[in-house]
Amino acid sequence: MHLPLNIENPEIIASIRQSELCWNDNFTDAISMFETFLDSNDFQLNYKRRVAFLFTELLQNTQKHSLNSKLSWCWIVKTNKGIEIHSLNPINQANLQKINSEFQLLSQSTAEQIKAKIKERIVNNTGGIGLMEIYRKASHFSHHLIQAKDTIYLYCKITHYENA
Amino acid sequence: MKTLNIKSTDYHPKVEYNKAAKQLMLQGKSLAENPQSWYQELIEEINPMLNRNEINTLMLHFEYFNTASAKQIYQLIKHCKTMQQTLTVEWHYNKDDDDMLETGEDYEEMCDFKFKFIEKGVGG
Repeated sequence: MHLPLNIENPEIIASIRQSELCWNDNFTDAISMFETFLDSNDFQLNYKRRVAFLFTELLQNTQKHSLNSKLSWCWIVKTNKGIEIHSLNPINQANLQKINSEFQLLSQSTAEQIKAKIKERIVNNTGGIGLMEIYRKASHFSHHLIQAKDTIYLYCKITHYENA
Repeated sequence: MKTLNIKSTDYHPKVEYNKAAKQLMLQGKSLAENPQSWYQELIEEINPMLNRNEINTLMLHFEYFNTASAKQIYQLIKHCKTMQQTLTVEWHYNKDDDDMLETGEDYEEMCDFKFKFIEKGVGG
């Protein structure tokens, strides 16, 4: 399988690959590695929190949607430009239409509109908010790309480049 | 859940109850993928105290929490406020953590009553 990893000389900070449903030990290890990295690199608190949030959500997203026989992978790398968080998880074909509808809604909404939708779902306890929060918080970063890839995988790439 | 002084784990915040001050505090990270049972157990544990008016203040000091926890935290606040209408919610956030302050303001709006916001020094 071709992975959308096209980075020059990446330093992998945390990487977790999964083809089964249970990986709790790996999850805490990955979080721990990545927090150690952030703490040792003197990032601003807000930035650390945002990266922490996104990495956690993407990691749990790949865990939640991992399907037997298809690879889930979440990785965070440091490049000479900055930080990149990637995640790749298989899409259950039964959810494809729902996911595409969600993308359409998100792409046509402002950050405030997305936040209002998130609040509505929290208050009414209806629907998931993970993808919406990922999308909203990713907008704080230099670049973000969230897309269904070949209708088989959900691919997210969120980057923080110092000089972007 | 044997005691209300619960140590934090990789997935759950610590919980501390100060009986003299009638304060219940949750502090740390809430990252469990399925946190419903943990929060439900906490609610069941504090219900008798709420019934006896032994909790006046709910102090929330999160470093961060995932979206699965977001709904549970809202349910916890609403439940405590319903049981104890004079309840004060204190939303603690670290200095410079603008996102957590904004999140608290969002919760205040969703809950439809005033929170008390307290900025803490890092590590405070």
